[in-house]
Amino acid sequence: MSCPDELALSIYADGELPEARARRVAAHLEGCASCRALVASLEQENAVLMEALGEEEAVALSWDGAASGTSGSSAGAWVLGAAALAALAPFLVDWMWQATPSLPVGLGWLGRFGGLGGVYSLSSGLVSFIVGGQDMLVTSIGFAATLFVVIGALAVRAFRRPALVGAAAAVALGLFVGMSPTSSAHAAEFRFEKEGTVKVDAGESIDDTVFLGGKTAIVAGVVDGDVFAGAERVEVTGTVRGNLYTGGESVTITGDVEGNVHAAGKNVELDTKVGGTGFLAGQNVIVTEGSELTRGGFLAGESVRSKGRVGRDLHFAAKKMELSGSVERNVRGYGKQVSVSSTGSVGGDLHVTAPAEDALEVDEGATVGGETTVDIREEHEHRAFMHPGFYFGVLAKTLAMLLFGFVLVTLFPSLRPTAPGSSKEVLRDMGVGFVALIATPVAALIIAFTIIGIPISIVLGMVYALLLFLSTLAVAYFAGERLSFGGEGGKGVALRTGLALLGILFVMEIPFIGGGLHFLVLIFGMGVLLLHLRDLYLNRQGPTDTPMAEPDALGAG
Amino acid sequence: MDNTDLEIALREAQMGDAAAFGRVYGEFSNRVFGLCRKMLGSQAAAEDATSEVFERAYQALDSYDRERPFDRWILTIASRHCLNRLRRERLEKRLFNDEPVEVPAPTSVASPLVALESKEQRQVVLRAIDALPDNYRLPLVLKYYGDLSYDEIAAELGTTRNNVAVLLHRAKRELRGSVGALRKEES
Repeated sequence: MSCPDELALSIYADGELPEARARRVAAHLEGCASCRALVASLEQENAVLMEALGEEEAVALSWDGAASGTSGSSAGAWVLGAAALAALAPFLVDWMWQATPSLPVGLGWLGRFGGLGGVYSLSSGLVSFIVGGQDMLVTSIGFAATLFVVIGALAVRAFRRPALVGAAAAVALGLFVGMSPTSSAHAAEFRFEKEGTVKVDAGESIDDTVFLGGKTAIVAGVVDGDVFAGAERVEVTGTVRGNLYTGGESVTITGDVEGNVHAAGKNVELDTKVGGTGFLAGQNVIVTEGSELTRGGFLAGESVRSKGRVGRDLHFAAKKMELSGSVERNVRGYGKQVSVSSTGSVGGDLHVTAPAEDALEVDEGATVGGETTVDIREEHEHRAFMHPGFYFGVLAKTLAMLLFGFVLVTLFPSLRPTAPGSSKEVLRDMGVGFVALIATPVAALIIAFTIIGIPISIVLGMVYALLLFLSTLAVAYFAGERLSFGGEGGKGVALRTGLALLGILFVMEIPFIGGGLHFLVLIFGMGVLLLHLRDLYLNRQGPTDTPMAEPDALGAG
Repeated sequence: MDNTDLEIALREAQMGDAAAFGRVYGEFSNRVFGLCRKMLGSQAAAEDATSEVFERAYQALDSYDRERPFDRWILTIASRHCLNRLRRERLEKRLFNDEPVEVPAPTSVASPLVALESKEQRQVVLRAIDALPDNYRLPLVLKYYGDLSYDEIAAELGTTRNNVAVLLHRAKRELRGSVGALRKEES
């Protein structure tokens, strides 16, 4: 047999000769020393080429997409960091409070709150408003928030834009701003005085919106636009034609306000007629005799006293609520101790959510036009399992959550979270959720004190409430994915999620352990949702816009 | 980074986690850069190409099948990217016309390529590879650096398997000549 040509041997050395031919060549090599030497040389050459080409070369490149993230962070670091942050947060906040030599103009009075105590008492009012006053949340803020989110979502969808959560929020905010009464102001005037008194003098008249900041802020003149005032002591004795947004250690409003009043502080006193709605929150909130909230009121605080007249509905969340004035329509609220004195009158229903039946005291002389109901919500409802209404309630809650999730996931398939792949990830999610759960109300409160931040903090509060609401659903969805029945597709997912949700909601109602489990579910679900939103956001921020996976939404199957 | 880490990083990256993709980048950038460097023959072009390759990979991550080895996937993207770049640069000039198959004169067994022990000597080979014309250099790099099969190289270069064999054979013959000349210069 003649020798194979060199090309064939080269292919042979590369291991690329077809099997039959390779066998023939191998057989030939057995008996041909020169060909054997040539193949050996070729193989050696290949090795040299691989070695030479494989030399590492210095690369001084970096991945830009990683710059926005925390590269190299492991789940363990996340958990540790989150736990450390959560543990240190109170000290950090306190330290910042004490260490700040001078707070910005208009906020100096906050220092007087003595660190955590004041923040706590203020935030507890806000938290009880958001979390405790669930009925109120559902009937008013929650409804509005849901409406805005749904309308915003539909609008975004209609323009065939991707599911930008930010855009939806912007649309919602736009609607929110658009629906609030517009003031006649064209421009704004700023007056700041670090240590002294800022004043709109009596007799002075301002056409524009006014921002006031100082140790003491006094509005004695007439302001045609809105007033934003932040100071240790805020006094409004003049006339405000627009809205009043104010915060201070003590807020006293005796002048006329034609728009809405938004006031927060340690002591908030309203002694005047307000043309719009009153949103008052603080440690002590008083609406004095002779005052009027023409379009209704939202009152929150440790101690709330309403002695004046409320033209429409009154909503409240308070530890101690005293109603001795009149309310033309319904009174709804959440309180540990609620009393209606003999001079009090309610045109519509009186509906109180309280820990016990005797938390509500209605004096004999008081008049209630509609029904008086007390919705008992004990911290630990031992006998709940005995009442059929309890089961119905859980079922209704399950259906409502499922429906909400269904609508959301159908509109935005990408919002469906991805189940964590390892226990490490679960821990990380819980760490993040824990921090978010604790920090968000405090952050919302602090933002609210920057006056301009009030709308932001309201939106933040809505988002927070929404995430709290959805976190249970997210956890139920993961739990459902672990079940193996119901089949593939949307119906199966809905069925599994629904059953898991039902189970979780029942377990949460079990005395003692239910509370702890509820907390764990909340922080886990919150963490998952937040990190998922962050992933979606980073995905868009990344170097390229990855086209979204086509919806295989809950209902598609 | 072991396989599990890589899997986790890839899954997170597929979910849109840019940081996770950063870890993947850290793991594979050297190899991608190396391939680009060898295919394009210039440091600067290779740096550009590397970041473009990873951007493209990030973009196409959804289509990456986790069952497939990731290095093959990204190196394929890299070689395709480099080829496109070379083609653009050379104004759509066809790089890989069929080479006439001829029987070359037998090579002497003592190839100057063999027995290159030191690093300096390997540098000589690298310089010689850089100096090769594209149609020789690319199959050589894909074969001995990218570890692609003849069929894969043929698919990448848009030519036939036989032609790849011929090109590789000629490339090595060229190299023997140029390495021999370079070594003579140096000594």
